[in-house]
Formats: sequence, C-alpha cells, structure tokens
Amino acid sequence: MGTEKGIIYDGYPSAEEIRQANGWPEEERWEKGPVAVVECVQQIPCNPCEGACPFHAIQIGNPITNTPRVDTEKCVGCGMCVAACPGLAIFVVDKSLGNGLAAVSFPFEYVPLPQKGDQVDALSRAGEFVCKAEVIKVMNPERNDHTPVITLAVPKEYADQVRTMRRLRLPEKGEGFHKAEKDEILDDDVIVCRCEEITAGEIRKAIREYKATTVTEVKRRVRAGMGLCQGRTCGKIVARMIAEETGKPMSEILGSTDRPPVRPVSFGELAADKEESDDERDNV
Amino acid sequence: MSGTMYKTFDVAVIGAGSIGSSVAYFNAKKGAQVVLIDAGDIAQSTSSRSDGNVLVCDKQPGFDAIFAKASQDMFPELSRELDYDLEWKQKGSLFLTETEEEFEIASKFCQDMKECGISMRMMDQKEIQDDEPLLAKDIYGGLETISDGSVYPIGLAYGLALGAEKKGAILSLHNRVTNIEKQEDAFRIETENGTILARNVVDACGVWAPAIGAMVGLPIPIRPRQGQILVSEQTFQVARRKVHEFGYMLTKFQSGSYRRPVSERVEKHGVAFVFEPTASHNFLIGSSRAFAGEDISSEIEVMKAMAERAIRFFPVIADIKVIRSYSGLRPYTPDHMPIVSGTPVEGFYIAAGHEGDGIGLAPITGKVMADMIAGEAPFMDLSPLRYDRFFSKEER
Amino acid sequence: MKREVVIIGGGPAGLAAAIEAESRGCDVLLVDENRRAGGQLFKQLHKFFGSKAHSAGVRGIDIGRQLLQKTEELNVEVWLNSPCIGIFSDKRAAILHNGVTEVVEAEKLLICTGGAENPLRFPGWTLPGVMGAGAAQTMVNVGRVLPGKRILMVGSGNVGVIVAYQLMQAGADVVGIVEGMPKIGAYGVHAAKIRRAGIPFYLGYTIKEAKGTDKVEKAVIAQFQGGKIVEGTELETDVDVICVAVGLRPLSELAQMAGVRHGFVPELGGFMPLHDENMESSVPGIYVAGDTAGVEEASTAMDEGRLAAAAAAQALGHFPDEEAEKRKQEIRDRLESLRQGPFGERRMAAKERIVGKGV
Repeated sequence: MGTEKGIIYDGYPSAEEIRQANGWPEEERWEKGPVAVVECVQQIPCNPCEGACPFHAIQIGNPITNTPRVDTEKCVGCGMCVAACPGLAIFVVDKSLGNGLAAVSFPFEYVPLPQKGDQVDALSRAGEFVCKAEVIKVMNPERNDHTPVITLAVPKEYADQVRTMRRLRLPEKGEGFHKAEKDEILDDDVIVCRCEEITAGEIRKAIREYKATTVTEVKRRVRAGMGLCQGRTCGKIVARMIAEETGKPMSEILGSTDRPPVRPVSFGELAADKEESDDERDNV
Repeated sequence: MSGTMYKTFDVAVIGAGSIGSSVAYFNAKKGAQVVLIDAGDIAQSTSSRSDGNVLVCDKQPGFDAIFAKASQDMFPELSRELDYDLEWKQKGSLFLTETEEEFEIASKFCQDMKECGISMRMMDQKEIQDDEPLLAKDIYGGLETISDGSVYPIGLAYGLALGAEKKGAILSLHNRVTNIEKQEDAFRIETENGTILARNVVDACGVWAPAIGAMVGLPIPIRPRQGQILVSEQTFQVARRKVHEFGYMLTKFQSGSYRRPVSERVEKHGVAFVFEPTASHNFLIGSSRAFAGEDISSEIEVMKAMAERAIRFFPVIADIKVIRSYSGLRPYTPDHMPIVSGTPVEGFYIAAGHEGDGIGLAPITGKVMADMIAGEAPFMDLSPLRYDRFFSKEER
Repeated sequence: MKREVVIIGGGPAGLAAAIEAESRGCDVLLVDENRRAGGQLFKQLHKFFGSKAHSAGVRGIDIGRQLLQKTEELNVEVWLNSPCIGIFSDKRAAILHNGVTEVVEAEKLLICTGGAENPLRFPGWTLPGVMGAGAAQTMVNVGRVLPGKRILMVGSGNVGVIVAYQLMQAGADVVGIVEGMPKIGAYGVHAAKIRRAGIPFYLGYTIKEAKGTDKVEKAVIAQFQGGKIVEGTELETDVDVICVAVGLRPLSELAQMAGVRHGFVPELGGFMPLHDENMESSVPGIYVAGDTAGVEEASTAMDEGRLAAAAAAQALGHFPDEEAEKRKQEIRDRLESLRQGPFGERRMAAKERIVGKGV
C-alpha cells in the first residue's frame, strides 16, 4: 500500500482515472435525473455494457479493449447496464431526489440480500464506512442472472463516494495483522517433495555437493519427484531452487521427461483389455 | 573444466555410468591420476533406467557365475567404503517354475551352479507358498539363490563417481568427447570443453561404446537392447525378496526349444516376470527386451504384458497402482558376455557390453580394469571377456 | 479401436473442439478424467468478459452447461471418469475406461489438458489449510464446502482476487491479499469488488510462514524486496486457510510424451508445447489447445479448441478448404481481439512469436 494512487495500487480507480477513461457527468446533467457512472478504467477485452443499453448511450466500438464512454445526454439512468457488467463496475447515481438526498444503485452479489426499508452501512470504493443509508430498492429479476441491484438513499454530498453497502451477517471479524514475534525458522527443514518427504536442505545438497543441474538430476540424486505425484507438485520449486543456486535460466532447468502413466492406474486395470465384440462401433 | 588440460592423466574413463564410475574409482584407489568424462550426468542413461539387481542366479554355470559371484562379494565392503547410501540389501532371490518341465530344467541348473560354488536350493510348492504366501497357488516350485541382492543403481554410480573424486579423480561431466587421437605417448581426447591428454583410455560408454571405439578405428559389436520397467506405488510387502520366473533364463538366452504357457502379447515382447522390492517400499516389475534402436519411449502393449505377467504370479498385484514406467537400453553383445579387455590399440581398453548385468558386475569390472592397466595379473583368467573373441584370427 | 478425432480433456478447449469437429462430420471421442466434463468452467461463478461471440456476460458455469448441452445434441461420444494415462507411437492414446486400459488409435489427437497451479515454498506450506486458490475454488463452488472462515490470499492476479471474492460470497472472511509485486495483477474491476468489501491489498509483501501444529493457525507476512524478505517487517494474524495463487503452468505431460517440441515461454506459463497457426504441434496430427498450449483464459481456450478442430476436420477431408479457411480466419480474428489491450498484448506477442517461428 504505497503512496501512488490509482487502480493498480489502491484496487479502486481514482476520480481522475474515471474521468479520463469513462467520462463524468456535467453538473447540470446531475440535476436532470439518474445517470450511469461507469468505473471501468483499464483496457480489457469486454463489451456487454455496450449491447445492454437500450438507448445506445454506452460506446466501446473497435477494438473491444476500448474503455466504455457514456453519452450522458442519451443515458436515462435505467440501470440495464449495471447487472450486465461482468466486472460489476457500473453504478447509477441520481442526485435529483430532493430533500438533500441522492440515490446510488450498485450490483450486490452477497447473501442475504437487504430488504427495502432496511438501514444499512453505506461504504466507499475502499470499503470504508461513509454513512448510514436506507435501502430504497432491491432489484433481482431473472434477466440480472443472480446479480441483484440495490439502491440506497444517501445524503447528496456522499453520492460520489458511496459505491456499496456492508455485507449483512458478516463473518465474525478476527483481529487484523499485528507485528509478528521473532522466531528462527530454517528453510533447510522445509519439505519440498511431499511424496518422498525430501527437504529443501537435501535438495540444496544435491545441487551443491552432488552437482545436480536439472530437475531430473536432482530427482536421480535425492528422489525428489519420484513419488506418487511424479514431481507434478514440487518440480517447479526444485527448478526455482536450482536457478537460485546455479544462476542457470529456468528454460534450461525444466523439462524433465514425463513417463506413462500420467495418472496412477492399477496393474489390473493396465492389464485388462476390452472384449473386442463389446465395441459395437467397430463392428459397424 | 575448460580449455586444454596440459597435464597428462594416467587414465581417462569415458562414460560415467556404473561401469565407468567403478573403473574410475578403482583406478583412483590405486593412486592413478584419473579423469572421468561424460557427455551428460553421472548415471544418466542405462544406470538410471535399470532395476538394481546384483545377481548370480541368472548366470551360466562356469566363468559367468564365478565372475558374477566375485562382484557380488564386493558389495558389502563397497557400501561401507562409499559415502553415498547404496541401499545394498542381500535378501536372496527366488526363481519360480510354472510347470513340472521348468522345474526339471531348474533342478539340473541348480546342480550345475552348486558345483561352481553358488549357494542355491530347490523349493517345492509347499515351501514356496509358506515362504511367499501371496504367490499364486498353482506355482509349481522355485529355486532360491541365497546370496543375491540389490542396490539403488543410481546411488551405486554416484557413490563410485563421488568416491573417485574424493580420491583425486577429476569429474568432467556434461562434456562430450568429439574425437580421440593416439599420439606417441598419450591419447589426445578432444571434448566440447577442450583437449584432455591421457596415457590410457577406457571406453565405458555401454550402448554408445561403439561410437567411441570408432574414433580409434575399433569396431565394437554392442547393440542397444531396450527393456521396460513398471514402478508401483509405495505399498505393503508383496514378496520379501526378488522374485522372477525361471522362464526368464530361457528368454534371456533364447536357448532350447522350451515354450512357456503364455499369451501372445507376453511372448511377442519377450516379457519375463521380474519382481524387485526397493528400499523405499515400492516395487519394480519387469521385464521386456527388444531391438528398437535408441528408442526409450514406453510402449503400452509391453506395459500391459508386464502387468498381466505380474498378476499371474502374484494376483494381489492387480489392485496395486503403477505410478511410472521407464525404459532403458541394455548394451547387448552377441554372446551375452561383457567386453572387459585391452585392444589392438595399445592403451585403449573397453569395459562395456554388460547387457542387464552392469550394476551387479560394476565392482569387479572396475577392479579388474584397474589391475589390467596397472599391469597386474587378474584374479582369474578373463579370456571369455576378451575383445578379440568376436573376430577370427585373420581379423585380429 | 480407432477414432478420427480423439480429444483429451473436456474443459472449455476440449468441449468447444468436440462440438466443432462433430459438427463438421468427424467421428469424435472426447475423454475426461472427471465425473463431468466442463473443466474449470463449473468453478467459474462469475460473468465472463469478452464480446457476444465469446458469451460475454454469461457466467462460466452457464457456458459449461451450454457446451455440455450442445455435445449431447450432437451425440458426441464422451467417456467420463476416464483419464488418459499415456500417448504412444502412432497417436495411440491409452485411456482408463470402466476399469480397462483401452488403446485408441487416433487419426487426429487434440490435447486439451489445461493447466496446473504453481506451488510456493515457505515454512509451513505443507500444513493442512494451505492450498492452491483453484483447489479452494473447487471446494467452495463445486463441492460446496467452505475451506475455512479466515482466509489469506497470496497473489493478486485474476485467480487470487476472483477466488477471494467467491470465498466471501460463500461466507468466509478474507483477511487480505498479499502481492509480492508493487502493484495489483488482476483486472481492476475485479480488484475493485474486493476493495469495496473492505479487503486490504498488501503490495510488496509475501507470505513468510504458515504457523500451526496440525493445521494452519497463523499466517506471517513480510515485506518483499528484490526477491528477498525484509527482516523485521513481519506481520501476523490468525487464519485457518492460506490460498496460494501464484500463477498457472501448462499441463503438457501427454504432449511431451508424444514427442511434441516444447519451448520456454514465460508469458504463457513457462514450459509449453509449441504449435503452428492451426494449433498443430511438431508431431503431425497432434494438436494442442487451451491452457496446455499456454495459460490464458477460458474464452481464448474455447476458440483455440475450435481452431484446432476446424483444422483437423479440414485435414481429414470433412471440411472443404475454402470454408475451412474462412472459419479458421474468423476464429483467429476473434482470438486477436481477445488478446488486445494491456492485459493481453504480451500473450499476443508470445503467441505470434511461437507461430512465426514454426514448429
């Protein structure tokens, strides 16, 4: 969690990123009624929102990785795009409710769903508490395909902050991270090959003292990868250790020879043959 | 190691399998300056694709059996001497005879072997059932060889190679030999990493020995004979020692007119049942033989035949899982005997062609080769292993 | 036994390939080692990206259902619970089917065996409760078992954040997402769903240790710089599950066994079988598609499967050249569009490099 801002550092887009990628309604547009706010700021190959809008107010075009742009004049804030967005990145904001209130609609795929009239915690893009809010609409028609859309009434000044609500019936929160007590752990004792119980220390010995330079050579020397899973689990770890120890590139270390059977098969199953006459298709 | 090595080694051993490693070890032990060269890793080919047998039971009475016994007798000391765990286990071996006819042939064989000093005994049906209770009930009888044992074959090669290094030998791995030139007082060995000079050269390249021999103009009659093996999961004790079918002998030497009562698939791929328990509680199932060039891919028909044959002797195996198969190339010679010998090119020796016995015969091969290079008399007459036995007088 | 087209693996690539090949008139056998075909699709409860042609906006599980339905309509021969244990010379596949190892000789063999999760070694990684994110996803979305209540996710790529989200949907608490790089790897929209739920990302951190006696009880994380843990920055918290999502690699054992030439392509998961513009490998008649042919996404996997099947049908003479070329071009264009943008361009460049070099 560094000091740089934006989607790839914070996990949510900055106002500037949204403005640049998707656009932001002008002041006068807000007063006219609900409008879609798209917060999809990266170039990803995705365009269902474009097709979901009955008013053709969202445009992506070609290539498919263009970020969606909202034509706020065409948009009526119907919300058809909210559940259609696979990334759950579209919201509808209505600042024209009056009484100093605004409505924020968002996709919410957690159970249990709130009910109309519930008082819930409205949260920001960072999951932080913003204000208490009333649920004024719960939409979950079949066409939403299990993506319910919830509408909260929030004080108008929070309309640009609120983007979701706290989950109901949350699992009990444990304590968060705290400073760890110092303890001595030896990497040499860590098991690498679980089937044959070969430790990192033994593998290092195979590399340093027994001069192993590939995964296969480690296997021959200390049996790592000779067990039931045939190195499917530890192969890459062993390769990484060889790279660390010898400086060889991974491309020269990997590529042990695979041998049948790639799944364990009993001797009985291996020996058994199908009766030729059972295969009706061969007789056709 | 790179660039030209100006020092002249006493012995350059080419091939770091179990044989080459042993030759390097015993020469180094005598105080010789040794270099062990391999195009790849220690035990990269046949030695890492074998079953680790150290047997006398499948040898022919006479020289073959005595030579093998001498090698077998070296294992206990070797496993104490080397730092690497060889997993040497001497639990004996058991030949199974399926029919009365096989039992009769085996009884005669047992008698001949005893006369060579090999400790063997015939077991009747009741005896083998008491001894190995999971055997199929109809097995006719067996032949036990008390002294047989097994090692971890890769471990043997490592132990010997690293043991040689400890005694001053230089390991030159991942370094292919590209040419050998005989000069006045030494061989000039060209490798990928430079030139190596040595007064004596030992070709211990097994299946690839002919390619090295050709560099000094020597034809070596070794051919790759492929064999496949199945590996089981870790499991309970199916049998307490190595068990194989006596028909193996007949298959190995392709002698006599005896035909085993087996399926077409088993017959076609020369499959003979071999069961080998390992120190890590798996077991290995063999065996097959085929001349297929240098192809070492597994073949499903052979795998099926080996599984079928294993279940015939131990029905309980049907429910145990196979986790891997592998195959390797045995260095085959026309008379099934290795070449452990000097050659018409003075200073150039061959230690190769052990077919399926390279692990078991590695110690004695290394020892007699060291004696030979040092000009000492061998412990017995080694003429059956001479290189020139394959050539007529004129050709020599 | 012989079949014209044998497809190994009934995930998105294999199913799409089976449908394409069967519709072109090929005699197809599809084998899958699971009880049900569909592969990862039945674990994907989220809506997919893409365009309409890629079933965008449809949940993975529903795409899986559609593909299965289509294979049924077309009467594709499908063997379930049937792992392929090896490929042998002459394109013979040994398949364990109803307790018997059957050897099926294929004229065209399509290997669509998917990918496998990468492991991460740290003290305690063998404790029960440490698992691949994909394994946790199978437990929760297929087995309907919640693997734990307090979960740490290691890795902020798409798999990490999507699985973290789905674990929360199933009622678990996610204590955080740890990422060794200084930035989030997943699509921003997926990350934003996690952040809205109040889950922190620990960027520039890695898992240092899993503590516990019989199972995971605590996770220790620490700052990670230049490939090393910064001593003294350790933080710990109580957890009962640690999920590891540090990438996937192609599962190509069968292709390797068949003698297919491989290359090391880090952008696509590392060691992988090489292929040409028809997804055909260096062994004539053996094709690869989906994560086996480089780790990407389900949508690209389906199109690669279709491309391989169209090419196989053409080579078998079931698909007239002109039509086949048109169809293949249409699929290639779609694949290109899926690999647009900052998240796909490295994969696209890698694929172009592979195809350009030839097998």
